[in-house]
Amino acid sequence: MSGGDLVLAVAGSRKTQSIIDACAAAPAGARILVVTYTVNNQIELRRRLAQSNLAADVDVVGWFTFLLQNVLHPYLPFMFPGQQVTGMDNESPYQRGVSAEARNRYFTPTGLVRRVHLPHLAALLIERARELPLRRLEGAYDHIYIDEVQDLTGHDLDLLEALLRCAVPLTMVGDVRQAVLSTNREERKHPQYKNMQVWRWFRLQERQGLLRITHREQTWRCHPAVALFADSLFDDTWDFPATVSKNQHRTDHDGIFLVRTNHVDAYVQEFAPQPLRWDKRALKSHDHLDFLTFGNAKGLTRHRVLIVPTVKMRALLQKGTPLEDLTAAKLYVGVTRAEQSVAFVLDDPGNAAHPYWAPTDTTAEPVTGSE
Amino acid sequence: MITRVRIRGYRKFQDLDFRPHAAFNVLVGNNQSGKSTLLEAIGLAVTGRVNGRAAAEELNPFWFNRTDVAAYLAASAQGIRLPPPEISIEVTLRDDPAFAALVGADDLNAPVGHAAGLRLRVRLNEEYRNEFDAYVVDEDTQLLPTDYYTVDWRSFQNVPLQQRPRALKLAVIDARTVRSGAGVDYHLRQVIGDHLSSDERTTVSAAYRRVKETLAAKYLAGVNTELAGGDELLDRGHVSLAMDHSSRASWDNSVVPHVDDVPFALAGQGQQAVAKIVLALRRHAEAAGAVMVEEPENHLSHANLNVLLDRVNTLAHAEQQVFITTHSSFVLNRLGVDRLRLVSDGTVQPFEALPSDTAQYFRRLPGFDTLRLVLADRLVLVEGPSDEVLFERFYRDRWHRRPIEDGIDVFSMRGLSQRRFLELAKLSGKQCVILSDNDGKSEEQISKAQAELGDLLDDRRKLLFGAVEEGRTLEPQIVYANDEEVLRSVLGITDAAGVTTWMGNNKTDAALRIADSPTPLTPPSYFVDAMEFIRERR
Repeated sequence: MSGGDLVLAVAGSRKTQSIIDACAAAPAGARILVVTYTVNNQIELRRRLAQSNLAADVDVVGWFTFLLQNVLHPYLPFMFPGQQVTGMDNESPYQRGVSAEARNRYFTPTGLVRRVHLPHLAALLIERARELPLRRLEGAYDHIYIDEVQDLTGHDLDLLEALLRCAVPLTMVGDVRQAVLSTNREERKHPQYKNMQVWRWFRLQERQGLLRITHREQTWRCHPAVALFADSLFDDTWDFPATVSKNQHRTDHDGIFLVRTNHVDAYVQEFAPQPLRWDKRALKSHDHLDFLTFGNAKGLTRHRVLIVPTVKMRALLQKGTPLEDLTAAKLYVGVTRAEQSVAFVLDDPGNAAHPYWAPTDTTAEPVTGSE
Repeated sequence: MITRVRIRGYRKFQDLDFRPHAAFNVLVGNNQSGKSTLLEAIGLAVTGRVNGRAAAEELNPFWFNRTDVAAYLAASAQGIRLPPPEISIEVTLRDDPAFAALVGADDLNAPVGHAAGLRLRVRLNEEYRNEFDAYVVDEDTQLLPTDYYTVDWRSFQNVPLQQRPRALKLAVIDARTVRSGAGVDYHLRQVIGDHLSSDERTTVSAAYRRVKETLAAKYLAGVNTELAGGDELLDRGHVSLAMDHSSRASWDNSVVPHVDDVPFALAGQGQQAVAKIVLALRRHAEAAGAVMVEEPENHLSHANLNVLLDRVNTLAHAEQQVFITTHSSFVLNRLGVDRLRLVSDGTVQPFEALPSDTAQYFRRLPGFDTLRLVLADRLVLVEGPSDEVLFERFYRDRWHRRPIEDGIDVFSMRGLSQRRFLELAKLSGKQCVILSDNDGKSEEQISKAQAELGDLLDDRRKLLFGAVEEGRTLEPQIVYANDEEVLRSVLGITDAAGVTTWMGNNKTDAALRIADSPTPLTPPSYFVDAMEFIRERR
């Protein structure tokens, strides 16, 4: 059997939990590999696996470790016999103009493998070793899970394609709407599938019969109004199913709100939201707040969030101007951290329909049009 | 478990490629042929240890193949730079899910596929390259400076190993010696450890710790109170007693096998050997493993050896690969000649092609000296003891040397099957000649008998019969070839007795008298042919 499953899961749909549950349900002796890109997610997976009562043998590894242990180390002699591998170089820049066959494209003079080219080398080794690495995986594992699969890009996609040809059942879980990281920023392979566009690649695999795509559209986290706003960030051409909110909790401050800059401190005082911004240059006047960037907020759950919108996000709120992919993905991540409410720092409402919040004891008139 | 052993540059083995039998391997060879070295090498690759100690600690210049080192040093002395000698021991394991983590390219330089396996390499540490070069360029250097070498132990996955992979069970049983004072050597300890499932081990270990704690709390507490009242040490400290909780004092160091309620070390050496082998072979059947037994015949009486071999035979199963070295033909015949692996000159030769009925044939003749046959350089097979004695004498008359001095072993067949011997000789590549009485067969019958043996006979393996017209057996053949008066005087018999009849009735006596006589006789023609054939190495 080959092929695999992609579970496209909305934020708050407990997708990581679905992997934990599957591992916990696996019988004694089953050998399961869980692969994920970010270190934070590896730690989180290990922590949650340790708490569940596992009968199976479950290994959690990062994407690069996965490639090192299963492809590079065992099969390197098929391409570079005699090459010593002393470790990994995370800093090496992309080797422009160095042949794909050249040792020094992949290795430093001291034998460190350049992380930036590791996926390419792994893809080549699978080919040179006549797919023996896939046979190795078939012998070693009964199931492979890849969490946050939307983070993979470039040559990673060729490796996923190889894994889809492998007989080990493969379950990939992720959300392309949250494609804000990529394993390899400088990679130039498959530029058409970068970030959210990886969705097109998955759809292509589905059309070729290699992939079954299922959706988890229920969110246990986001209030219906928050979920509705998050969905609205993507137009119909994406063909994402509408999110169904299972959040039954109600407070007297649920949904999407606007907050003027001079009310931010009062808002934070009143609701203690998680403040989010694009980077540390945004809203420097409020550096005393405990800001996270959208990227760093990934994976977290917060009762409420407060977002400092970028120029493009403001245009979306004020005029309904659609966002380009990466911004949409980052805003989606930011919005979907919230259980009950999302507030945007916006002084000029434009055509925005969302209500303003203001402190009840204030007599001051809102200042409009200034920033 | 082990499907292939590749050894390069290790001691006797310059380049060995050995594919052991899945269940049973009986390694035989002359002294110093490398039997033990082969087992040692397998142990090194599988456990990273030798004699219970890490390979790096035991590394010494004599591990390197002498020919390799000599060639390298000779070249260095002349300023020619060759790659420094290396040791590589690769053990390939069978395709089994338990070994999946050990899978990788089957060769570091020219991989053709992948396999599960382990690889131990001893290589020059490049950091010491300059020191090494400076050292070996000196022409007085005889030995490699191994302090500049490093031991690199990995699975075929090519990730360094710290300890023996759990899925691998390898027991080494050396019946020759009992090592440590407690009678429990490293190998035996490992066998005991492997014998317990991990649950059992945890239970025993926890219980042992509890016992130690109870002992400390209940009985040492009083002692310590007394000690506390005693004289102060420096810094006003006091001495107190506590149980040793270091790994030295873990449960497995306090557990000793008993044989019939006698502590292992006090049991007879034969009993110890049997106990070790039984312990190693009876481990949980689900684990694939290998057991290596060195010279089980030592310390055992014939009867006990028999019992032990029965045990080994019945306990060996598909999951349990056995390697046995032996100097005993009895062991070899009992375990099966087809399981024989002949170790010589750094090679290992299998005998699996031996027809199973032939292996069965030798199994029924445990007393036959199969090993002598296998280990000989060239062979002369004769009908019986008198033929043996006379061949020796005739050979010495002709060349003034004993056949054995020329590497020629003369054997009595004592009526055993010519075909079986030829099969064994063919497989072991021996040059041999069988001398047979014609027993009154016609030329036609003799030709037919030879033709029936097919390719068992060729330029290197001959079956010679006494000429039909010169007599049925050896005695009339001798009479035919010699002057009757000379023969009578050599034999010391009177005119009254018929020479042929007397010799027929006193075969051994006649042979001995001829052998001891100062007067040389003329050998029968087929003896001459045989001597000339076998003297020349082909």
